[in-house]
Amino acid sequence: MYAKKSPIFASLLLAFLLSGPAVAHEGHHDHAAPVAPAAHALAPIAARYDLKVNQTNTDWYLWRENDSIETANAAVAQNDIWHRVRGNEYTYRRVFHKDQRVVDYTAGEIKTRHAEPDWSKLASVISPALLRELKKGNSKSLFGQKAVRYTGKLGGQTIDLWWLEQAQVPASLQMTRPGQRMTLALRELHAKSPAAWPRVTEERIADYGQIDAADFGDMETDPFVARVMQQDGHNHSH
Amino acid sequence: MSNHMQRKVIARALTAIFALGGALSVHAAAPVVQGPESVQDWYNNGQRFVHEARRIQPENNRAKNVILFVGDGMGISTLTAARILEGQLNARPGEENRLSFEKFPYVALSKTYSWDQQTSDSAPTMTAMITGYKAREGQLSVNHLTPRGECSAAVIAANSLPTLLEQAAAAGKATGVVSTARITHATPAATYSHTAVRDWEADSNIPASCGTTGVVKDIARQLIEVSPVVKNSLKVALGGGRTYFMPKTAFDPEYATTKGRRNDGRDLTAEWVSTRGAKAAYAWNKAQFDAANPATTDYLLGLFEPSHVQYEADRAKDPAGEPSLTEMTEKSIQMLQKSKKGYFLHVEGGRIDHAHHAGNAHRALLDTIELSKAVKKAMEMTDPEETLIIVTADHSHVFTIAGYPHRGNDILGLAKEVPLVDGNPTAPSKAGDNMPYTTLGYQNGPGAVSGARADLTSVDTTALGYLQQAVVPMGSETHAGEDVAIYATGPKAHLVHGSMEQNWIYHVMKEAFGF
Repeated sequence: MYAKKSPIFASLLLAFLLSGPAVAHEGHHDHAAPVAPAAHALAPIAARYDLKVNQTNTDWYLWRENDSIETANAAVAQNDIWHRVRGNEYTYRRVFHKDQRVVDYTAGEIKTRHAEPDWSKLASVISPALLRELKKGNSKSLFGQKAVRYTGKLGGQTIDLWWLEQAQVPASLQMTRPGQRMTLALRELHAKSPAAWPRVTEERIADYGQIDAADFGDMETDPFVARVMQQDGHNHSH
Repeated sequence: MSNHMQRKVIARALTAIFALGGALSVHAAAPVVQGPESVQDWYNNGQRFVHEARRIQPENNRAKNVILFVGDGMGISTLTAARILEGQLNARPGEENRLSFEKFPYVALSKTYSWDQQTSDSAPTMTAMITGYKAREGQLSVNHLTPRGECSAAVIAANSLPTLLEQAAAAGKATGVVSTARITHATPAATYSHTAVRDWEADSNIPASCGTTGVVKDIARQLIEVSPVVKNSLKVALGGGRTYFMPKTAFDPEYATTKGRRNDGRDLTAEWVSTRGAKAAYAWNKAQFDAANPATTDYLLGLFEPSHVQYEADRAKDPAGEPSLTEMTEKSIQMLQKSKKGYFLHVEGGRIDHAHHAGNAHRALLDTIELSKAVKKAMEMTDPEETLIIVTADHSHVFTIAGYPHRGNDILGLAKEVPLVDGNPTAPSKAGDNMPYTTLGYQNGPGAVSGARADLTSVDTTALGYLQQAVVPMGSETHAGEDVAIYATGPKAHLVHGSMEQNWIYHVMKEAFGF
């Protein structure tokens, strides 16, 4: 059985993906049973998606390496970076470019907040285990590899997915429920990141203010911290 | 009708049924829930308490040494729950247990409001305890006339309040600071630094709008560049926060991708060693800490994590190893005891507060138990006739112990009442939504739910990562404004009594030292 998890990793995309109760369950690592190869065996990739949530369109990036996952959401100018350390511990860094602030979650803080991620989900955008709950359809070639269609309804959301079997990421994903529609469409897929992509570098964030997430409770009067905490407090799914 | 009322009605009905039975012999089963005490034990224990209390004599002599323990966020509900957990970890029911300092002869309540806060943060509360003055939110050891965000070093100097650590140094005593938080964090920092903004821990935290000249020093720099008399006196500083002492160009020795936070390019850890003579040392891991011989080391700086040190629950898994709060306390006392004129030592259990903010009671309680162990070690190493030990908290948290759980019920588990009928098994109590609830909970914080509450029937609420349910959704659970406890033993400890303003703690310590 699982215990309550803290909602700190609610990026725009993941918040949408995790928002339905059935999908939220799938988000717990202790429930996940990937049908695909384990995440640590996945090849490094750099992917650029078109992300559309309702009427908002933006670029959404994924960089996957053996022990790190980074995403960037151009609409909110935010990068999220997860590192897997010592096998089963995680650190998490949220980079808020508009605010020029970095929030770091140590491995201890992740455990204390019970916010350990489902690594296979981070690495594949959605958990490969989710595929078992969808109806497998036809296949075709996309991005030079086999793509398989999966459809179904989960947690009140209608899902239409084209899944790249080799890369273990969606080629396209559409999730709809009353009043909400999210589409994710892969535009570029590389083994190595193009230099121009907005990945976080030490130089880029050298002058950003750094906050240890453990200090949030002592920083309520900081407008940035108050905003992030409010966002976290409202992003609870269960 | 509430659950409790229902119980009473049912109990009365059962009593009536048994009464109607008249001469019928009723052989009730033995209670499933039983304390270990005999009937006589209750009376005897009370008599023993009074007998021992009669023998308590105030220690009116001056204190050679003063040790101030602060459990950050260690409210009374935290103490009660930690005491029970410690007892249960030792295979006892738990309620009868006492944390080490709960055996101290003198106790008082501390009013924790600050000059401008009903419920305070750690900066004005520690300022109150260490300077004798209540102060403003977020400010360290400056008076309440200090403007918010004041950058000017001259203004800060004009408004600075002398701390007990500085006064002990001026009196020729040795001094030390220990924390499981960053050594630049509010509570330990208030002992040696003066600033209008507690977050200015490294120079990179000071905004550019402050300019470049005449600006107050960041807290890490203040630790290294204390006045000559404090520099001579401050023998030991142990805690976390080493990146605040390292240049941005330097990589952390323990975490390969972590860098220092200083813009000025200075390595303050090296400066600690280079400015304090041949017998100065710096340690960043357990092996180096262990290697520091108190007999041959005069000045020891230990910074065991880039930020706060590990929670006690996680400490054993730290890659480079870290000393416990008890071990840091022990080594500090060993070093300070070399001073013939005595010493002042401040020890903070800093991570109780952080675990509560995360809504994680288990970790908060384990850190509280560790603080209790550190106090026990200090008691073992000191003479009660010459050392005043005070244990208190800076503020509380919105942490509660709820329901009517039976004696010995797992303090981290679901609340289970005493069965209505002896012999019946215990079962989780049900709330108004007909679902069980935990004994421990928070009024606000990350554990809050929107919509229906989760059914905890099959949830392991004793797991280290479990977040107790809360009412008001907040990203971080908050402090609470009720009084906290003060425990005291040793010279002048009897001055700790009744309802006290938090800043009076300073005045008791000062009186004990005879300054």
